[in-house]
Amino acid sequence: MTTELLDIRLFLKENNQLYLSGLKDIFENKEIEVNIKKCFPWSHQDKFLSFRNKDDEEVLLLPDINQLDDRSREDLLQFLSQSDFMMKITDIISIEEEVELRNFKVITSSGIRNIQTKLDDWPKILKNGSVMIQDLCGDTFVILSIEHLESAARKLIGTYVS
Amino acid sequence: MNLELERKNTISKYYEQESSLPKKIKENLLNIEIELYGLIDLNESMEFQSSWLVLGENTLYLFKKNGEEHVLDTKLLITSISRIKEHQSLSSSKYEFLTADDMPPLLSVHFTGRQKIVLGHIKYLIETKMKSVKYNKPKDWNPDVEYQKAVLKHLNEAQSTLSDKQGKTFLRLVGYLKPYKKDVFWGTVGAICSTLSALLPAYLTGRLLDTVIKPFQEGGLQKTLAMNAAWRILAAIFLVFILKEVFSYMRLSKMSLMGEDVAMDLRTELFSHLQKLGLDFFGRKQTGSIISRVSSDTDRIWDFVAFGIVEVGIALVTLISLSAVLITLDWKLGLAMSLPVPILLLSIYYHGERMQKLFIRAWRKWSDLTNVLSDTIPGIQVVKAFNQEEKEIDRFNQSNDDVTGEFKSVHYAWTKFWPLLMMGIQVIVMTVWILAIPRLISEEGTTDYLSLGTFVSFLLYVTMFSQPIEVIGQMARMLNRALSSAYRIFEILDTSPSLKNGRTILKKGELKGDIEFKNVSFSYDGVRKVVCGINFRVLPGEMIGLVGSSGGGKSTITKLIARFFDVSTGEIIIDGKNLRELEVGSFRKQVGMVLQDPYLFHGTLVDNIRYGLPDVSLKKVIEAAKIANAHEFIMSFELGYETIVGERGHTLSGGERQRISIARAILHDPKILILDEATSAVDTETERKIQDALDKLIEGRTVFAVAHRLSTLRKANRIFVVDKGEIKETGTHNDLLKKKDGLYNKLHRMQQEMSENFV
Repeated sequence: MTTELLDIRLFLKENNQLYLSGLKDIFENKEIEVNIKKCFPWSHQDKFLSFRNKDDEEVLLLPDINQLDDRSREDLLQFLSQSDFMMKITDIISIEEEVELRNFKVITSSGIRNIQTKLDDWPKILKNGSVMIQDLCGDTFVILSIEHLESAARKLIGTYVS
Repeated sequence: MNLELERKNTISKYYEQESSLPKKIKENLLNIEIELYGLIDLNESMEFQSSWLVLGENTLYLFKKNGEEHVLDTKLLITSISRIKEHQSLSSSKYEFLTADDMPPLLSVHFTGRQKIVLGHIKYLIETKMKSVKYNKPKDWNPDVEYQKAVLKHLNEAQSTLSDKQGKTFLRLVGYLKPYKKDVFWGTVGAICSTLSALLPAYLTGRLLDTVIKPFQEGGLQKTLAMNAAWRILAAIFLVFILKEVFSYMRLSKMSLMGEDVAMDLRTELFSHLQKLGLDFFGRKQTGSIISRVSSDTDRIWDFVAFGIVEVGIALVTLISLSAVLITLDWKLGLAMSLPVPILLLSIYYHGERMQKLFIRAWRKWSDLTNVLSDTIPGIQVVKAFNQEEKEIDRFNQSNDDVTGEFKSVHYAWTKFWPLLMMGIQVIVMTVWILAIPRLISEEGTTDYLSLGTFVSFLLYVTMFSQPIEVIGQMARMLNRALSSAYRIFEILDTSPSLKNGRTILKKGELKGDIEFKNVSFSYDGVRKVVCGINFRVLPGEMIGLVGSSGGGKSTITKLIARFFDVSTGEIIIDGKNLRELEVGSFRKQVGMVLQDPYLFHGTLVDNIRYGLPDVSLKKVIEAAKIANAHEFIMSFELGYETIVGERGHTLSGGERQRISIARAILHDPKILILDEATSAVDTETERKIQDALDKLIEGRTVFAVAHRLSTLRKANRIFVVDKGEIKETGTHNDLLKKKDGLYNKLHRMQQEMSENFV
């Protein structure tokens, strides 16, 4: 399936900010600094990207990343790689429960971490089989594949995701 | 424990991060007044680290870890920063301190959500300094405390008694027995005596066999003497049975009644305390969770006090005394019986652990099932409108199957375990038999001889073994359940009301209604400012209209006036006094509120109208209802003012409920009146009636009216246009219309266009 290219240009400046130009009718070809929010951050990461200005107003909704020219897409992906960071859990050391709280001691892609969730906030199993844990502070931790965990860790998390 | 130490311990225990700025950094900044600091817990490669961002009066410092020490890495003058740009990802945030939009950032820092509140405060302070706005810090501002509180905010919201040890909680729970010392004493006496007396019949049975029946059968005792002795022993056994049941009654009645008293004390204390807590508490706790603490948690405490403590005590006493009696009767058989007991207890403990895991799985599935229910039952109208009944039935069935599967696993586990445990006890009994038989049939007088009476006593004692083992095995779970409930109750009792009560008590009619906001800012979550640096003064009797987009901060301004929340910074002055100095109750009595969705309590209409003023005369109630245009519809009900409304009562329409709440406000005769979208949810005819009622209500009061429909503010003296937490425009309707590019003008045009298009 061929995708029609949009007449816009995206580029990263020296200050690491992403700029959008084009959209002659709306912005008269001015460059505007944009931020990206994904409409479907889990299921369709490359589709339906909302470009937002400094006031967090949507200036463009990009249906598909393939509608950008190669250079724009490259810059966009580089920008997203900075903002798409997500901690991946690679091992689980312990899971303990106390009143109202569940404590996980885990090894993540960023290092060892103690995370807490509410007792009724169960780990969520996503459609792609990965497991998402959102801690009390709103940070998201993901286990990409339970099968790839050590058996002790699998046993620990098994109670919560079977 | 002092509060600061408690906070430090909690940060170390849960987060394993520094609980305050390292000493070395403080020493480096000796001559600088540190305003606030925060931990930067991610480096550029997104690995955990510990750098510190420190805000001085005019300068921002970043200290990075170099080996064991932190060294100054970056020093920025606040004046060199033009903007702080925030990037948010799913697992972290990033601040970029920019000097100009097209220049590389002066400084970039990455951090996790845990640090977000304190770093949000730092960002806010810097932005305030950048605008050269004077920031009034509270007098007792302490950067260590601010850092600790911000870092712990989410944790404390989830569970506020984190540092309490189990022992401390248990002792605190036991403290509730203090007023019932006598009952505890007699209950305990009953429990001990009934337990000890339960041991006697087996002993007496052995005596009967060895000292009466056997000597008689062997011809060593005359029939009459034997019969007399046997009757005496039987009478003693019967007496012991009676005594045991008397003691049991004593124990059960004392402890269960006392348990009810303790549960009642807890419920009373909890409910009274809940009434003192601020709206912030109710905002972060689910209603169901609060209700279950007052109902099922106190019930669980009753169960524990009435039976749990005693059952465990009795089991311990029974097991120890049984072992002692058995060893005394025959030490070899006694040891054979007692030594395996710890193994049985351990197996029960591990079984409990396994069951706990299975229960967690079952609860998770159960919560999925209740989610389906809480989705579909309140939304049944939507389900039917979209013809989704079959789909919802499938969804429910799927969850139902999952729950059933998990609970079946639970049942498989325990149904396998208990027969196995009982088999273990039977094996011990068999071992006793195997050891006893050669001794029973050996010659009397030999060292190994075992009398029949002793052995029968033994067998009777053995039957008493399994129950205490079961109770003690379950003790850990029982204690955990009770302590969990106690924690949940104490968590509420330990939550301090967020509002400190002022000392100045206002008398009825004393309030004039002069309101001044001085540089007021407010945030619900400590990060996002909902109200930013607002200044205004409203004179007594003025009516102010608050308009603007949704989420702009209009309702929050009214909640700050009613002191449902305290301002984060700045001051609210009422009649020349800081709102914080006024006693909350006496102030709120003079503030009336008519909300978009008024709440009616279950009860009669008359009780709802005179809520808070139970002694007001019926004549005044009717007068208020007439002014509120409510009298006519009330009289259309068969039971008039005594019609039951609220949950399970007569259903009133939105407009009818609104007029009841206006009548309530009229009766209270407040000096300050807040109308929050009071007419937005009703039809035009009802709106006219409500507006007419409101027009009568606002006379002679200071009024703040939040409205989307500008036409409802025609009587306002001034209108404030609120947007993104700031008052962007103020003036009369005509003044604001004159500003061609103004927000109010835009809103007015849009509403006019809508009504024209409708025509």
